[in-house]
Amino acid sequence: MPDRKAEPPAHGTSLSVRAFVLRFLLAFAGLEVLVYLVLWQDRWFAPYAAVNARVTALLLAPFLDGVAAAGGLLTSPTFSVQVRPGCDAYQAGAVLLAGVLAFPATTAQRLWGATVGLASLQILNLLRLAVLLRAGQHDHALFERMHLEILPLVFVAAALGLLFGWCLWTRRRA
Amino acid sequence: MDTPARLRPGGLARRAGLALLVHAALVVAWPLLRPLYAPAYRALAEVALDIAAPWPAPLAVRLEPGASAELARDQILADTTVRVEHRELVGTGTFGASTFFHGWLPTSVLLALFLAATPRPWRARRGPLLVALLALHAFLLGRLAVAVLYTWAESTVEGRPGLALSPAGLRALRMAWHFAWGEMLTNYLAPLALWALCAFERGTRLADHRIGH
Repeated sequence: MPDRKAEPPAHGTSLSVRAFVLRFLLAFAGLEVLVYLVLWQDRWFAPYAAVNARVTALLLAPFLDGVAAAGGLLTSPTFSVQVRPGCDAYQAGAVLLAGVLAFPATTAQRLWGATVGLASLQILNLLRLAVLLRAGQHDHALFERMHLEILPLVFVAAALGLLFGWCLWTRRRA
Repeated sequence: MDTPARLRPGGLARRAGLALLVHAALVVAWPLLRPLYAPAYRALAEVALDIAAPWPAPLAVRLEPGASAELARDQILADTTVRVEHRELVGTGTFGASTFFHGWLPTSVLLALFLAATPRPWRARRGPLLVALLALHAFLLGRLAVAVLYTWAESTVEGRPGLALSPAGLRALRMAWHFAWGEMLTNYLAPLALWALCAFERGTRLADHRIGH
């Protein structure tokens, strides 16, 4: 039987694991600097916080009496939540974007991954604010637990899960 | 010769799920591990910081069990008070630490990845696991050093700042402290990156049959 030439690797998949990790870390570091030095500055963060508070208030209004937004403050008759740097989807988004940039894929796949991923994380952030307000209304200890432990973990899992899912999806289409 | 296991995307997803389960089990086991791990963390951290002493001033760093409500604020399971003192001048800074959040949590992620998600035979995992554990503990020491430096920069020694930094330098230190010490994300990213760098053989490619199709 004649020798068959090995098939060339699928699009971009000749990248080594280490090169991928280093590319990811480099992209993530750049995005983190952007988050810390630009996006978390009051000038940029205040409008973002206000939009998050307003949209969350709109989402909660049918279920919760007296919920309102004032700037970056999400208020209810018994508890309020201030949207501060960290109560956002920026860092989870940085993980996702860094992975999307580092992983070998076509431009269309990257655009798709970044758009769907960032939108999902942003929706998750609105849910986080809603959950925090509801938790704070019922039990301050529960609010603290949600704020410090559970919801940050959910965000990490969501960012890594979305990235992992997108990587598998692009591999299947390679 | 060890033959690496062949993994398909479905296999990757299964291994990721398995790693999550192992990680959850290691986290749940914390109350059992704490009596051993917490004192070991404090003792080893003290010795390591004393040896490395990456400070521009003669500082003594002590890790004591327990944390006041004030030091434990905005921290997960804070159980340690870190006391920073100048060896010659009068000045002290303190901050809270959590042997769980700042030590065991990232360690459990790394262990789970090596136990459940590494597509290599057991024998081939031991060396890389050791290297990754060493690197992770260097990171744990580094994050503690950053927290000490930040606390010292915010403290005063005989009426002057403990660490004289420019506004840009202080800002960079605050960023490093926030990311290394306060972020949940860091507890997952650091072990994940170390695992990916150590667990796979040099030259392994994303297209390699061992990790992909």
